[in-house]
Amino acid sequence: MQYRRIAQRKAWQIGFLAALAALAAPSAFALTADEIIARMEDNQTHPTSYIEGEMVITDRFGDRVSTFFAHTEGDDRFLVEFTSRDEEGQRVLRRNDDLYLYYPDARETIRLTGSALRDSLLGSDISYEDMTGGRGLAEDYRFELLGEETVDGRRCYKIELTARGTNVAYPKQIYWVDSEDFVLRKSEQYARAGRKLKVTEVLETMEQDGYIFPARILITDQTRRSSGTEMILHQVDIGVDLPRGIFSLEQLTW
Amino acid sequence: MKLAGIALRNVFRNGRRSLLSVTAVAVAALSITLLFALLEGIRADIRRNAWNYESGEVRIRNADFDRYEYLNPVQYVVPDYRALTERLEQLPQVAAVSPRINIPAVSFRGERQISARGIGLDFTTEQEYQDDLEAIVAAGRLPEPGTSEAILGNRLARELGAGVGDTVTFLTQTRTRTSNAFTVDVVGLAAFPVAALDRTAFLLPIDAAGHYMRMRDAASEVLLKSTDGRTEVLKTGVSALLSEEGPEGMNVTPWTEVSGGYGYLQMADVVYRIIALFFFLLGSTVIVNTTMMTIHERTREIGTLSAMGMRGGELVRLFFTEATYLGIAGSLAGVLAGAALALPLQYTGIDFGAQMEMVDMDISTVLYPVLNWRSTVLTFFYSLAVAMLASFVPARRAAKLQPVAALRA
Repeated sequence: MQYRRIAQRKAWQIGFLAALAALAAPSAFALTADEIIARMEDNQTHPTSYIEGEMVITDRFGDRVSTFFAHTEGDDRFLVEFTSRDEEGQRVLRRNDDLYLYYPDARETIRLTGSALRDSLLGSDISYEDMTGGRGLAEDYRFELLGEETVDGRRCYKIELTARGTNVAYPKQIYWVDSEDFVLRKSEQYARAGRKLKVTEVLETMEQDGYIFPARILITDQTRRSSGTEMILHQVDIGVDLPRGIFSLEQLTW
Repeated sequence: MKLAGIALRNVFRNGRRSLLSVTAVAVAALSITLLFALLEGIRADIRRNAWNYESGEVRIRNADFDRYEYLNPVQYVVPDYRALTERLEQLPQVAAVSPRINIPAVSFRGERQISARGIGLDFTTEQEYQDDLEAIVAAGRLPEPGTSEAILGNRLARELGAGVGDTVTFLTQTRTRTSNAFTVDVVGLAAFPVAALDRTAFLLPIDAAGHYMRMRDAASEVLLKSTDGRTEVLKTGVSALLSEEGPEGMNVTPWTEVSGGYGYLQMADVVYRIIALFFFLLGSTVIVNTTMMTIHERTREIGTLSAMGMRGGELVRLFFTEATYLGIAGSLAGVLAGAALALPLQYTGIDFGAQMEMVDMDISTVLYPVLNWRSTVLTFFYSLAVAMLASFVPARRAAKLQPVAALRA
């Protein structure tokens, strides 16, 4: 499957897979682009977590809020369950490279493949494709350090990611990685023709258990008018004991 | 009377040529009779399909939905449709009311996404709205209210690989602009008259549709039919009720403004009339030719008649009367033959099958011509008039012949 090889780091994953920068970052002097990305990926990976949050989805017709909680394990397993009234009980399961949707009104789970992965999650600016990948950016992209820039008062490395092949969602991305805590502060995704597709910005961070997490993330799909999705994390617990079999398909439909 | 007798005798003097003229007019009249019957059938078909499945005779819909229709803004609804339906049913102009919940849906088959359109109906009252609702059931039965049952269009079922007894899961966008998926039990297969519906539509109970779409007592639209076919009167009555008692922000639209098929009909009406004119012009060339040949052959006779005192006007009348006889015979034969062909087709229909499947309009795949007696009588007089007019020019030429020159010819 194409999407199995899609490996990209974006704020969505930062939220759900949140394992963030160690506080005591050693001197970043003279780091290469590969080393910076590796540090960023290391910060985003942790064994298990429990997250509670909400998504504020804005489009031309107004705002709406979806609340959720999520369990994550490593960088390729998570289960998100929505708790807001209209989506109550709806779940998204990522297991390795597969993505499944569960809806209480449906008697079967939906496994997303192909073009369906490009559909939007609950009408937000996040596509299901954005929720896949997450393992080893170096496998799919070449990195080039473009320099340093300030993002919201934070000094960041600006790194261009160019796809090695055609089996990725975004042929080109630009990352702004904090030079102190190696948190991804901003990213931009581009189409092959150079059109900007998405922008992800970290608006706030929170610190817990020695980790720094993005607490508010704004994702804007540049192809949609008056559109934006703000993800707000209210609670993040690291190293939690996960219920047995929580990432199984059987558990998904319970 | 004498002139009429001579003209009648002249018609039979060259039977073959007269038969040719009669046949030409008859073929034109037959074609036009059939064409108008088919057009009338299409008109009735489009109206029936639009009223049943698209726009009703009059449609109530949220004005903002109409405004942003290209974005399919399912959140713009008709609130509290049950109360509204009850009030609408009290109006004297209203014969039937059908609240609808439309579901834009997709079903996954491997990597394929199959688009579909769910229509939530109140099956307890829909029978009043659609007299022939049961007629669409090709297999199984209609869904029961209060269940998750559905009846699928035949082609949609084929696409999904589903049959009666199977379940199908659809993903949709709800009124709250979020997503939801639901599973329906297929209890029937429908042979919708319109190919586009057969390819995409499934019907389910409105209560289930409302739950899946998170509609909370709202409907996507409310369709109405009048008691007497007076659409404008119905629209006025409904608009007055809404402006007095609400809900506000609704559009009340007659089908003539929203049905794509109606626009097509208006255009087709003009086009077919032009086509009819061409048919008659072609037929009339045969009459012109016949009359001119007659005059050419009978030049000496014309000279004799003139020498005996027949005036130019009488000569014109003579040939004109001959053409009239031919016109009457041809038009009558053509119209009768057209009617004889159209009448059985009214019941058997003409199956356009595959040709219609790709037509994105509310036209059925099987069309039933409708013989409209008014247009049939008009066709008769129309073809007769053209036949008579066609003889006028050559008859005038005959009248201008000099007797001496004609006798020498």
